[in-house]
Amino acid sequence: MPPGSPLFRSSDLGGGLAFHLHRTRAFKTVSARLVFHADLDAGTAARALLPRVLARGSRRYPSLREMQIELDRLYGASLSGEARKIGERQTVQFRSDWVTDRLAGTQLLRRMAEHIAETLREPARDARGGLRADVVAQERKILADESRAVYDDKTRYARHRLLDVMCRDEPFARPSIGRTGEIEALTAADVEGAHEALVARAPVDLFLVGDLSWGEGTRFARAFGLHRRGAPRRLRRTRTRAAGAPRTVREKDAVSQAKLEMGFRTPIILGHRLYAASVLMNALFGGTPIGKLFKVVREGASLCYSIGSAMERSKGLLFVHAGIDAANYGKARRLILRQLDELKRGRIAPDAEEQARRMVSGALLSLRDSPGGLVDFALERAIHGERADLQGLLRDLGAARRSDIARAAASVKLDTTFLLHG
Amino acid sequence: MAATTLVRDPLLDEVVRRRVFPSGLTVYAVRKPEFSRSYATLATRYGSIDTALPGRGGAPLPDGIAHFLEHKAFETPEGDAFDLFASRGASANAFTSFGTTRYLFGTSSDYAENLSTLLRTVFELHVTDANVEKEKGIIGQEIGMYEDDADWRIYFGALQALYARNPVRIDIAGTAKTIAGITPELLRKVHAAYYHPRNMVLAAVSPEPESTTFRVVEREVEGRAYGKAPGERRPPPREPPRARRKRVEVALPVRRPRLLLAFKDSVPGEAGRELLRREIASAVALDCLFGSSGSIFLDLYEQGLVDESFTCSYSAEPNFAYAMVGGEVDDVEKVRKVLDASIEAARRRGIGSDDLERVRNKEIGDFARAFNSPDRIAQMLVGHHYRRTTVPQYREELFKLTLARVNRRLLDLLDPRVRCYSIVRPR
Repeated sequence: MPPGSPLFRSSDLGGGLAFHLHRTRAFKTVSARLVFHADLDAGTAARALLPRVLARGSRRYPSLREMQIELDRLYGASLSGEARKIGERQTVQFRSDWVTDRLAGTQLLRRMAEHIAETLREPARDARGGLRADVVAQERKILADESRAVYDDKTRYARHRLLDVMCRDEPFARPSIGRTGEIEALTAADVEGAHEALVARAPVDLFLVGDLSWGEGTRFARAFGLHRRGAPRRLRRTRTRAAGAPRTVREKDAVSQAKLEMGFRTPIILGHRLYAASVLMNALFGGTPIGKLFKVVREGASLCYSIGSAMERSKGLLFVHAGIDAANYGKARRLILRQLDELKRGRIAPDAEEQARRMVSGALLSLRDSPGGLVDFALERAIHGERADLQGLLRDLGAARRSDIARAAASVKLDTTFLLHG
Repeated sequence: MAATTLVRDPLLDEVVRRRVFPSGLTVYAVRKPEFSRSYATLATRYGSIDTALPGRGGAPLPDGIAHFLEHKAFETPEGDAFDLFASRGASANAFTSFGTTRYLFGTSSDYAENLSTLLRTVFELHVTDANVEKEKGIIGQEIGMYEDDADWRIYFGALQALYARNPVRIDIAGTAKTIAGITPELLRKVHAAYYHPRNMVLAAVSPEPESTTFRVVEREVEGRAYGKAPGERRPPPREPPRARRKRVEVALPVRRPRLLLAFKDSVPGEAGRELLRREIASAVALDCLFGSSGSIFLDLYEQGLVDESFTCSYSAEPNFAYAMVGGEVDDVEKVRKVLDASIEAARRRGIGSDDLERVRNKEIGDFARAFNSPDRIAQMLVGHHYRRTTVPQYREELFKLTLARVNRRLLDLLDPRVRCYSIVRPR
């Protein structure tokens, strides 16, 4: 592959539909991802429930049983949808994969285009022409259960609470499936409204990965009729924000091990000139087992078993999580901040820098071996108006100097600390 | 010079080169130039069900020692091999199961170097009094962690309720008590006995040529002295056909109850085609009832009694076989009643040919999909090796499966006399 060439060939097919193809013979399957974009707002819960309701039946296969029987008959094809958050964008993503025409011995590509289009555009309806209330009620319960399950996983719960506090007047605090109360209040009419709005006006990206030509791909893409729509809705851009004066919140809960969450802000997001340096910085901070959080806070000071850091590349956030003894809270927090400080001063062992580069590059290269990994990489960048240039990123990682890594660390400012303790 | 056999699957367009080295090690190498990542797994036929040293009158071993040995295997005089892999951007892992212990790595660069490290480290055991004592503490914590894990507790609860004597009922990590007496000397004995190349297999999938893998094996494995290879695994103690207990329950800090229905199948007794046929017939029978388009699963789902966490599985080795079905539920007693009645009805009615054809298609699709992943290819090759079957044989047997055979399996496998319920309730 020539340097600087994107992973996907892309084209705007009109009507707010962008089509992307990664042609490869590496896989025995063809993978499709149909992504509808929306703002993360009060309509989020209805849009999250929608794919579950659509999977319960189409006009031609009006029950889950018939849908599943048809998919299994088509050599175990899969079709499912879920809502995910990327920055302050809610994406409603439909994933599907099926074996190649050659392996199936039949025109599966064409058949799947029909099936996905029907599932999307012609859901099964009741006698009055609405979405079935009993189906909506069942799926609503499952989605609400999923929402409540966050509370039981104390690590996840602590992260949610950090966001509630840190981003309380920003859309980002809202979970990708909406809040439990919002989900429980949903009616069939709400889901119907979400369906109409998405299909009529949402900007859409369709990604295909597999052994098919550009012509076959665009024909597939046109099967959904989305290219014939009018202009798509304009969505908000995710806003980064400067850190306020650092704030600390503590909360009591039934935990034996305390959960420490620290939220930082940085202006570095996808597309920023220091992006590659920030990826290395995070690897050296707490993103890998060779990072300072692991080596110093866990192995050196034995303050925790589980610790790490992660960056949110669209919103400009960096999170640190640690499972600690509540009594060590002050010590742990200070030691974590000291590691960030070391990075700001460029105090990085030369072999650590090289190891971080290898680990990050290795992880990126393995994305190429996964249809899902390729699409995730490209989707995030599409939202930022960037091409999926993996080779370019690998080059930037190789070129990042220690001073760049230090500058990336210097841009990271503590905003909120949250402690969940027993 | 060891001869290489080629196993070629024309439909999938895959080629596997197999070579048995003078030391006894079997190596499967697959070249996948379209992939970025290499993946290799080294396995030994030694796991938690091997409760004694090999041979007649072999000394009994404490529960959990196979897992303990796995923890120590990556230790080297220069430090932990995990760090060495990580410093090269590779990721390594290891796990102990009932019948095997496996060591593996994945990497996008320095394949030969990482493979050397894998082979050298696993074949050279480095244990000291200090590092063995330290490991007891670490494994003690791991055992504690699993005690809180609802999925683990429900699964092993089921195995212990099903089986009276078969060693599959032993917790893979043992207990703090059973591992307390492990010494470096004992670990060395076990390693010498079971980590013999004749008892082991390497499966490697890489964009690099197969000759790279063979060259590294030649260098790292062939030059060493090995003792006596262990013989065939002994058959398990005789097990009463019925489930030991009909129902077990445990209370854990979870939000929703979980239900697992387990069936004890008769001991297969030997590896080879017959075992493969049984596995395929059983997996298909279960899929027809409890898979994604399974009649009983869909009934329960449409009644609002289960969600997608409800799944089924079948496990078979020469020494044991069992099926499990279950997931998270709100109303344990209701689901139990509906399940019992549905299974009885299904056994009476039997599975139809439409069901069989649809599930056969689905299994073909799943099978093809496995080849998208170097990891799955390598693990599949290890599984076939110890089962004494091949990848093309799997496809053949799947196509030859008859409706009569599936329905016979349905009757035998889902017999109410051999089943038990394992339940986790919120504390």
